[in-house]
Amino acid sequence: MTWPTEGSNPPPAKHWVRRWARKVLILGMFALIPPGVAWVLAPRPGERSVHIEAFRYGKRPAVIRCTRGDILRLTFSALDTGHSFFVEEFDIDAKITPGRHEVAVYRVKNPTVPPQWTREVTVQAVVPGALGWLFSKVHYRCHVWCGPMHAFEHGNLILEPNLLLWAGSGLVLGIFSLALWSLWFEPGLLGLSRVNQADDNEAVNVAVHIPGVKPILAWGPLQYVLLLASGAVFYFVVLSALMGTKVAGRNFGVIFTWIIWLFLLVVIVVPWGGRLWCLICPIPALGEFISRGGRLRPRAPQQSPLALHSASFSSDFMHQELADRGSAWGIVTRTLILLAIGTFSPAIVAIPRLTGWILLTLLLLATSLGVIAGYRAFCLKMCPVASFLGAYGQLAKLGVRPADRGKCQKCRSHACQHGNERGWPCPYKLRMGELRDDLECGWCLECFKSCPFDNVSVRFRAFGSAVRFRHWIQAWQACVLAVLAIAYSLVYLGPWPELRDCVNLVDEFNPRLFLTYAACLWLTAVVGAPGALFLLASLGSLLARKAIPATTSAKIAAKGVLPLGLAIWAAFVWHITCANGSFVLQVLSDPLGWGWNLFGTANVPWRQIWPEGIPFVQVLFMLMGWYYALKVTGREWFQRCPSPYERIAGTLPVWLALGAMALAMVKFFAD
Amino acid sequence: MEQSNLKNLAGWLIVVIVLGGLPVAIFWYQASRTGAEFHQVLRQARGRALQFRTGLENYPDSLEEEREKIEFLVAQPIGLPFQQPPMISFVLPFDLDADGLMDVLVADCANDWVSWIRQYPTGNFTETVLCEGLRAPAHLEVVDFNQDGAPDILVACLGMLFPNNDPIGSVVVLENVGQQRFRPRVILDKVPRVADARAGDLNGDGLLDVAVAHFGYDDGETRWLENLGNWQFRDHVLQTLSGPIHCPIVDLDADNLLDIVVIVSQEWEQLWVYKNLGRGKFKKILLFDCENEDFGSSGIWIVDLNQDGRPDILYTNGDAFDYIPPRPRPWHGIQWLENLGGMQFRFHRIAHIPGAVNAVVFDVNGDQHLDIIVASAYNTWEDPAAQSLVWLENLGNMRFRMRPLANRPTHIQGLAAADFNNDGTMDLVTGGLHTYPPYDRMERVVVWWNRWDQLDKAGR
Repeated sequence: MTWPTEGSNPPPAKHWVRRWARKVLILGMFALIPPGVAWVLAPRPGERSVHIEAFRYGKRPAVIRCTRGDILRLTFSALDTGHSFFVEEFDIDAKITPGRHEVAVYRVKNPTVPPQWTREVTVQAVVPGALGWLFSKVHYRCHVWCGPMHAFEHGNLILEPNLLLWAGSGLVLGIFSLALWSLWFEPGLLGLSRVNQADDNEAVNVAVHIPGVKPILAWGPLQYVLLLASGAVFYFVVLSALMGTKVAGRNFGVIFTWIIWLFLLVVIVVPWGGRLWCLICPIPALGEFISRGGRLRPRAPQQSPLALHSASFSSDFMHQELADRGSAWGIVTRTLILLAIGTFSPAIVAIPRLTGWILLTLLLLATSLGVIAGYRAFCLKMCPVASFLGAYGQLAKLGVRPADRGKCQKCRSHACQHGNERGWPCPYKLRMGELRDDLECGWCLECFKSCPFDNVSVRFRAFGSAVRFRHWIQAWQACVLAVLAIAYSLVYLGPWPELRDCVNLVDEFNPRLFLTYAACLWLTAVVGAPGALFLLASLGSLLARKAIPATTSAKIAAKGVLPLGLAIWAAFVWHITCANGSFVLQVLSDPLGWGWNLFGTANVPWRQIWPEGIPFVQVLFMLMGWYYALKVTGREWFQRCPSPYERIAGTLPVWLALGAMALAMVKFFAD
Repeated sequence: MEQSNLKNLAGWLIVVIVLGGLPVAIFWYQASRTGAEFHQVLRQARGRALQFRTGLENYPDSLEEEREKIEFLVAQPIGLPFQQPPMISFVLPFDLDADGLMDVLVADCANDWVSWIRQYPTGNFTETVLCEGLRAPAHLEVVDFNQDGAPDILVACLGMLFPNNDPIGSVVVLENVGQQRFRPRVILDKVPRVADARAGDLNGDGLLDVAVAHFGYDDGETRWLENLGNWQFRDHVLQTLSGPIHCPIVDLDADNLLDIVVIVSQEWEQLWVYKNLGRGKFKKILLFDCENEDFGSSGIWIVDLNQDGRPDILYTNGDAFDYIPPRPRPWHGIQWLENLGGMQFRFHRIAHIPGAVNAVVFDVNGDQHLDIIVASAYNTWEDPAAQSLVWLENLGNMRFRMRPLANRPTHIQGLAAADFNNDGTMDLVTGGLHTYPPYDRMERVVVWWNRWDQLDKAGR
């Protein structure tokens, strides 16, 4: 049901410009006034003495707050082993030795220059450079290997007034104000009146508008070529993880998986292509290949001497349970497996061998299930990555859909699902005519080949405009993933060593702490957050005079959690990548850490990538997530409730909760 | 149909080639780079991927039971007093002033200097700094480098004692300019941290070249510096594995060419020989390779332990610096590689000694068998019984009996033996490297006077 106050025709250009100018003006005020006021009211800089204790794996104090321009007089001590106070922005690397008061101060840019020995390091609390006054958050890290978790040892130096925090918080409020205004008075301001692009007609058919796309997607060997390349890389990742150096930062398997691949997946592939990764994922490929009788192309009839199943994929198929598409249980198991891996992730990242064994285990599971079931049962039921992709992929700008749903309704052969001599059956058991979301379509592209009507397309649509929940379990899933993202951020990016002690399984395993952490994480993710969301959504439904049921309200609310959750993931991987990105150069030349130097980059020193900009990008991600959270949920309420009061009342509790979450994460990333 | 089958076959072939070819290519490349055999690389890779092993499963200890302590050493701290925990990495007995009394050269990582503790008269020691500004000196060798008749000091400098991957290592020659004054000449710098440097004429041109062990941390190297004369050097990189600790120069195979023996620790735990082929050419030979990447190799010493005329390799493993807190491991200890001739060696495990980092060899009790004194820098020091010095009494036929010697001071890194009082018995000198707590039994430099000849028949 739609309640457009504007027609589906786009507004005239000048109207569009005026609308954007108003948005910019309003947001600009929220962005500039708070930091401006804070700047004016900021105290004058002075002098401050701070003693810093270094230990595994943190610094005390974990956060140093000072006024921008303060003269900081820093003294140091180390409690257990050698550490350093490394601040790249200030070009300082002070090596701290246990039992000694003096530190050796090296220059980050030129460590070969003899250090200066001193008891007290004096710095001015302002980032050097013409725009240094803009930056308010600086990480002080450790540049002496002090243990397996040394990469996470850091603290935060906050230069107040924290302009980014004020501006970010202002923008959170500003976006919220815009959303309220839009929901009540002017839906077009946030595009709330545009219909949900889960319906195909509102999304652009890429194949029609960009020549050459369709032939490429329908090209038979495409997936195999891509799989060959990805398979080779996967194999090398496993080999290097198992046989390469135990130093995680110098192991190609670890760096590729947890920095390169994760970054590309979260920041680029998922927002744009949804489950596009599944096109080249090598994990289920072997099982699928075996179950297809070792053939690259199907032959008619769909019989293969090696297949363990018949080509007739009807409902009486013997392993129906395993291949039951859209099963809520599949979502639950995938998500719980992801949560389990996430709980143990510090050990997995710190010990390269574990990464290798986990990848091999996933490969074995996928192969076994693929051979037995004949479909990508692993992807549907167990793949932790598919849990992530299936949830956040719904926000993506690209999705596979029928070109003309009317043609699908006339189709009797359903070759997209059952296959024919041109293409294999859908390994996800999907039928194009019924495909209305991106939860399970893994972009295998077989339907592009098999469809006798050439009726499969790739749709390009607005971000977050095609989110559709078939089952309330997906709302639960959205909450679990968001909680996991928050947990990762707090533990790895937070300055609190106490949190890291909870997850330190590598060299100082404390069962009590770890179990407490795991229990809190699981309870919050599995029960607490979804329960809270449901309660807030119910409250909203109540306030909206039950214009829509509480379960529907909860699903709508969870749709708002998706963009926020993805934003937190993106902010997390951005930080990790910028802090460790230089290792990529090292592992390219020496992938196993065996002393190679293939491309001459094995010995490049570790440096961060634009460290001053990390908080800015993170806050930007949060603001984008918040914006889309409001837009996605606002559109749902707009389209379901004619009354502005009911819309606002219905969505307000959830908006306030999501806003508090956005505000908290902005503060966390900026402060 | 046939074309389709061919395509399928081609696909399978590509997969098999990648599956099998990739690891083979990796191992082959590594073998060709390092000089190891293909099967040795394969074995080590397999060991990494699979079950953890101590590396000593096939080597039993050649040790008799422990006996009670014999008090024949008398400790005398010498040198400057200290306010902060001492960090002495190396001690070297040498009569620098040629007065007939053994002095001690000290590499001090806490003060970044090399000092000389002069003994005069007997039993009286005074310390003088020879050269400051040597960042984390790790090894000293006295050699007449410029062949002017005056002993110079070759210094290997880590740049920083704690793990660091920056190129801050250096090799410095303290050139003796007379009257115990030295001029520092930096012959190599801005390289991975240098743990050892030894001098020897490697190419037979009459000039002393230098073998260098760059421990680094993630990056490391083994190289030799070819002396071109006039303090000019040309460097030759032999290997790019991290973790070389010691690189003694010795003619292992009696071919009158000096070879380089290198112990590579970190996660490699390998013992290499660079066999000198003459004219500056070397052939890499892997003598020992441990599957345990935490073996903790800590040093090697060239000594004819079984007195058969061939130099053997004494080898300790006890480095626990990477562990937090540093704690000994059950495979720490000492072993030796028996030189069988023709570059063939046989591995013999001697004893389990927690945190073993240094060893000296001499006949303690006058029974004509060479005994071993071992120092420990990483032990469970909270336990007052934890030993920092132990004596492996050679009972003959290379069987040993371990006796405790001292539990204080703790954290002993430097160890050397010399006759300090010219009484015909070897005394000891130790240096403490107190890099982690506890800090209750600290000493900087200690001379241990050997009073064995004053013991009665009961050993008192």
